[in-house]
Amino acid sequence: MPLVPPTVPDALIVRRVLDGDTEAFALLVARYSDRCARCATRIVGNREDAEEAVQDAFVRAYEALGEYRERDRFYAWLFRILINQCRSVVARSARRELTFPDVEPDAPETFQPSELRTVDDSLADRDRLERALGQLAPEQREAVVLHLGEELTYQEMAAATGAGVSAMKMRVARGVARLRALLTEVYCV
Amino acid sequence: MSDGGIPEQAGFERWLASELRRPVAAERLRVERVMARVRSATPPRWRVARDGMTSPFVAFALAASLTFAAVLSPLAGGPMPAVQQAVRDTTQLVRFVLVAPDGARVATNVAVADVTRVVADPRAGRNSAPDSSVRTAPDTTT
Repeated sequence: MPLVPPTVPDALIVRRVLDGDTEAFALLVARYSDRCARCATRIVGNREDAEEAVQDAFVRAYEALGEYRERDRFYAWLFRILINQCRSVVARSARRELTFPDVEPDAPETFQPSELRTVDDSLADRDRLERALGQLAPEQREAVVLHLGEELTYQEMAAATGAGVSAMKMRVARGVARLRALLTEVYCV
Repeated sequence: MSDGGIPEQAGFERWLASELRRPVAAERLRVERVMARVRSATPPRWRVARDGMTSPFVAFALAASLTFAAVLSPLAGGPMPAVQQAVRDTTQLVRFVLVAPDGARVATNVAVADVTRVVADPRAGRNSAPDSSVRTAPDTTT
């Protein structure tokens, strides 16, 4: 993996690529691939499909690099492409049952008093969160992941998803409320 | 959350954000795979378009070098044959000979036809040389 000097602005790397230095694109891939993989995994629901979406997104980003405008944050522009790839992957696997990584769908839920909770419980919490995310409507899941997970602004989310800013705010609010309700159910059975 | 079940509403979003920002397992070969696909992909439209363009600096340097070559070529090897031919065809050497060196003034009312006649007149003597001498009419000078 190439070194990615954190001080080199994205726009400068983009300019180098546009000027013919194809290998400079590896800097952008190295800089953002983990972040894209995290986002795609949360949205798509499994690592294999997420990996496919991430790689497709980077290739498409390279092909469309001439359309990138420096006034936009590069990763916000990249996430716009990534979201489309995630949707394509989800649509392709729509007939398959959506499963989430490292989660046993029918795993029994157990509740322990807080004083007895350990590191293993923390991992269990994460699994439950993954499952709860899988129960959200796709557009709510996208909104929660992009806003809380990837720190995109509502304007950037609107550009990435094609919906309005107010719709984005509504989806985040409803998604968070739904997650809280789902996780509360788990702990209050 | 692990410390005490579901956090309060105020802290729930913070907890949710921290969980969503946890990294997933890294794929070490991702960069290499993406770059392999990028290298083997057909050149994107922006690349094709830019390949046919030159930067302003390159364009300026090209124009300057062409101008420099055009300016220096006569100094190095003289004008090109076509240029020499054009000069020979369009330039006519004319010698003016003063017939009356003691003349104090020049007549201004001589008709063009008279001048032509005088020049063409073989009796004009020594000044009707083949080098196209032109004279003023002798009877108009003093």
